[in-house]
Amino acid sequence: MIQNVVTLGFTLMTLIIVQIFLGYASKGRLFELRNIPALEAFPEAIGRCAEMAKPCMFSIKGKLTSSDASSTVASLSLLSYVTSLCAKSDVKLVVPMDDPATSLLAEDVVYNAYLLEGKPEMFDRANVPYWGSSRAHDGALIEFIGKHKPGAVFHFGQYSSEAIAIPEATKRIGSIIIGGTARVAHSYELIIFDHALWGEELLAAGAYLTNDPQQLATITAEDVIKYIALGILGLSIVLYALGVTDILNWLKL
Amino acid sequence: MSTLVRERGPTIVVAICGFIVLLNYYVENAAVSAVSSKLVSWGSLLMSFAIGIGCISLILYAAKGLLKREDMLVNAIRVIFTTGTVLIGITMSVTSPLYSFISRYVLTPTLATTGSLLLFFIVTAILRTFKVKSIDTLIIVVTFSLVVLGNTPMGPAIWAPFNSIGPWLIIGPQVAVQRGFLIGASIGAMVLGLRILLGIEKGWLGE
Repeated sequence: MIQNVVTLGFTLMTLIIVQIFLGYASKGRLFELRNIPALEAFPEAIGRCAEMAKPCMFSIKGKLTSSDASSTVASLSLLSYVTSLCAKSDVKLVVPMDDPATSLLAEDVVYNAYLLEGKPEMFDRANVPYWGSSRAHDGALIEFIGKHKPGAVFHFGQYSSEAIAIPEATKRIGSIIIGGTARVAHSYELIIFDHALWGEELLAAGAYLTNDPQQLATITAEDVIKYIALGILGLSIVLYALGVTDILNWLKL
Repeated sequence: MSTLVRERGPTIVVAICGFIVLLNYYVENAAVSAVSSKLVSWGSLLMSFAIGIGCISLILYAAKGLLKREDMLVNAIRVIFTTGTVLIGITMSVTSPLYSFISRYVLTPTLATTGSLLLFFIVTAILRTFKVKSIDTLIIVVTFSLVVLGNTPMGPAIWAPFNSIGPWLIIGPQVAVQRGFLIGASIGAMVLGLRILLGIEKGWLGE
């Protein structure tokens, strides 16, 4: 027995469109993404740390089991990129995590990134600490920022209201902070960051950085799906205005 | 074989588990439902072990700091309270009066205190960020002012329409923009999930 038919239809449509674009990518077609300014600022931030001989801090706030796990996974891709930049510039990277499971995964990501850059000796488990979750994590970050004055702070994931404290602590020491979240309710906090990845920019960051044809194809497929969703939305509005109210029940996902 | 297991193993496991749980959402089948719930409970079990490892990691980190005589007070508090709470929870159960006391009279006030500090951070953030340098920042400052005036008694006392402009901005344009953001982020999350299940996204593996 099939349930959630409309959702299943939308999911299958998504899968088919993604497969079509993956087919294009396998035939050699390269899709382009628009410039994402926040990602262009990553090398500058690491360069700043190298010049000032200060450490760099990268923090992910979020869990792998919640509904916002996609932000956490996308942030781990960025962690891999930042680690490779730090390895190239010999910058010390500290990676405190909000969730112990993510911390274990981050250890692996950081070690692999150092290994790929040919600098496994730079990996130190003490630099991927777990300082507690939620408010304990934020308090520990503020303490680290105030004490060690990192040259750049990266803060991604599922923010909550206390995330305002991290950028403020960073600005008090005159450093720069780059952040990003796909959580709608707290996306307003991104206006106080120096550079920010908004919503799907964070989710597309992995594809942007690797320039992998398959990943770029999925991002383009995502845009097509978005246009289809907007088309369905527009059609629903018109039909509803014309008095066809059953469409809302039918589209209830 | 070892290379196949090392490189493809995690993505194969993720794909199989992910598709079974996804299938359970759409198909009403006892076998699929049983396997899916078992996988989810195993996931919870893994998370519980991860929390245990996190606690041990936190205690060891603080203990090392104590041995090096760094941040003695902070590290001592970390060791004492983490170890004590874990031992009390294990030996006396989480429903014991002592555990409830720690939760109600130590943890809750501490969380409330750190939450209340946010007010000062928000004020400094506003003073630093809300400077009119362009049309965009002008719109932000004006909108912010209207919303604040609409949510305080002072606003309607100055001019009665403030009482309706602020709330309208929240339930009108703000909700519309949030929903647009939500549509984009949701579709992005769906496609990211597909990328992970298909093994295309490998950043989380460190590759």
